[in-house]
Amino acid sequence: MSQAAYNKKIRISADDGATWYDLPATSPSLEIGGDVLDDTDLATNAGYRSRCYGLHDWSANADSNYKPVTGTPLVDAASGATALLLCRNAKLNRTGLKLRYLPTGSDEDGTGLEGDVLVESFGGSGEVGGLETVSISLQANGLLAAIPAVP
Amino acid sequence: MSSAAYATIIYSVGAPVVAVAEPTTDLGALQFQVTDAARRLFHPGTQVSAFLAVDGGEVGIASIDYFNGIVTLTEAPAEAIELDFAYVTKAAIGGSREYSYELGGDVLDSTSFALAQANGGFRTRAYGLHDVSVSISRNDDLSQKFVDHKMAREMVYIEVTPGGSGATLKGWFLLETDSHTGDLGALEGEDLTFNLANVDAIQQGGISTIFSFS
Repeated sequence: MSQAAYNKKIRISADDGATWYDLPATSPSLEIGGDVLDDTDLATNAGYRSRCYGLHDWSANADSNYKPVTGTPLVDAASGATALLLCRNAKLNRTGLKLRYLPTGSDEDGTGLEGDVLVESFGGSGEVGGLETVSISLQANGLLAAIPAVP
Repeated sequence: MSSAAYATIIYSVGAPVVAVAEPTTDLGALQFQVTDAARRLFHPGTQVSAFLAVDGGEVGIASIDYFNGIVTLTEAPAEAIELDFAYVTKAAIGGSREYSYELGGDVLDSTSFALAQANGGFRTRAYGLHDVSVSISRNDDLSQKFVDHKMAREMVYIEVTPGGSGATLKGWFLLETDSHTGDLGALEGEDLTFNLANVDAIQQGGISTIFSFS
């Protein structure tokens, strides 16, 4: 059975996974790619190209609604404002984040993925008749791993 | 709750005005702020100097907050402090109807045999140079103000508060392109793109002199 996307969660952690915050994403994406190397040669080909895996790579994008941070201490974690702030500050301070991509919204059913990222770009925009939006692109800094299911 | 974009505030500034022997307020921790709130946005291309108010002797400056008119001295002064500097006054960019900004730059591939073998064969990365750009579209008032800045090769101050509250992006930029458009049945428009100014143009201080987002 198909999975409706509205349950999805995109989560960010700036403390190595101790605390997670939801991004107020509207159209997130995760691409798992990397290199697939052509090793076709005259000695072994059967009339077809052959390949082997090289380095894996992955990236994520999260177009989001902008949520302002209000209050001291921060009180807007539920709105997504804290996650946006973490992404912006990671870019400005040259620090890394952990990302969780949870297609069902659960981090316990074995469908989620997790990895370390750097913020390649953090941008905002607004048109007078629209909403404030934020566009975030994240580049992998290492392994993307499945989050184990919790029995 | 999301923010409607119509509340976004976008500022620019006029020509710098020289201030001499400007009074300051002691903030503690060797920090002194220009007392007149209207004169706290320092022009980064102008030297900032601190003097003892009575003695007249110059005092060493450890750092400068150009956006809030604050100097941090190298040692505690024996008297009140006065500053010589140039300031600019903010004004809303008339006719603005759309904007965007990007905190971008380079993310560099740092993959090595050792790192890839350690992580199961994944690429790794490290931050390179950062960069900042801003774009603003406005209904053109034909003042040619931004064209004048570009022709004079002047830095332009841009301040954007998305949604009108919360974080504010502020900084000194160079106007890269100034495009004028207008179809037969439409308003005359002006599309402006800015990139972060040359840090070498700054007399004192580092990147915090020309860019802030908090």
